Amino acid sequence: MLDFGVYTNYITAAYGLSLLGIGFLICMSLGQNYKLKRQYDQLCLQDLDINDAL
Amino acid sequence: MFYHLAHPTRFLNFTLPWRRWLGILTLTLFALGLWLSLFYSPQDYQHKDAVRMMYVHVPASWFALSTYVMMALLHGIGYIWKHPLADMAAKAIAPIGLCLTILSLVTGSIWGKPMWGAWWVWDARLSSMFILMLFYIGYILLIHSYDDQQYALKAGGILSLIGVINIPIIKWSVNWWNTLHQPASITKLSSPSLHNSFLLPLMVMGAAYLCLIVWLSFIRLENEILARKIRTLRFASYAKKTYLQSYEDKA
Repeated sequence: MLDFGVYTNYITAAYGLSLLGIGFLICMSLGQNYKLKRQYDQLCLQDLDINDAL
Repeated sequence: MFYHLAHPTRFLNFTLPWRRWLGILTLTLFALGLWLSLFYSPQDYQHKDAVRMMYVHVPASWFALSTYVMMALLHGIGYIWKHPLADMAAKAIAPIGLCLTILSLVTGSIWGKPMWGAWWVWDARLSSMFILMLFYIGYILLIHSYDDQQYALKAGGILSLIGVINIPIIKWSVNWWNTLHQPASITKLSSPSLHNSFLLPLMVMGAAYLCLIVWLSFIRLENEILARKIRTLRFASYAKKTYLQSYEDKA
């Protein structure tokens, strides 16, 4: 456990929140990327089916 | 090169090999930066261990400002050269800038409490930074409030260009007015008022934040391109389905 005296709680909060914010940004961007890629692939397959029917 | 990369598919192909390495580099630099900030950095003679909060607060503030300038520049490029990716890139980086501004305000507030004895004071630097956050929020709300994306990005572009006025105010507020916030410690890299033992963790964390922004910008720009392709495909498949239905009805 890191000990920075009277500043321990402040430093833990500052670093914790920073890492949480950065982690949130990364997860949001990568999650959205995964979801959109899946949607795009599904739509491409559907489009191929429609094209075949046409 | 500028026009060559304006094509979305060409741009994606260009960034694809870089992205994985940027991700690895970002995480490595953050790990190294955290180690330097928490273990390597010595105590400051005035701030004591509280100086360690500088390594997360200062880079977040630098890049909150530079992301906004970049956003306005991209909209400017979009207006002047009609670059198809410029407006999309500006839209893609806005949430990154907002997150960094919030981080800068929150970590600054946490640092302010033991140093100033207050979580928040309405001094020039803090207030102008708060206004920057409002500009980011306003921009994001504005571009999501129109159905027509072209129109939304135009309106957002105007707002982002107006908001640029706030950037020099934030930068020089500590020099123009008598503020509780300290003036900049690094005005020139050749003669900073910080000792190397403080400068090294700060620079490593700065590099980590920079890599993070570039990496996430590439991913978020791909998201924007994919979202547009999905909208077009949905419209095309709806049109084809309607045509097929009418053909079957006639038969």
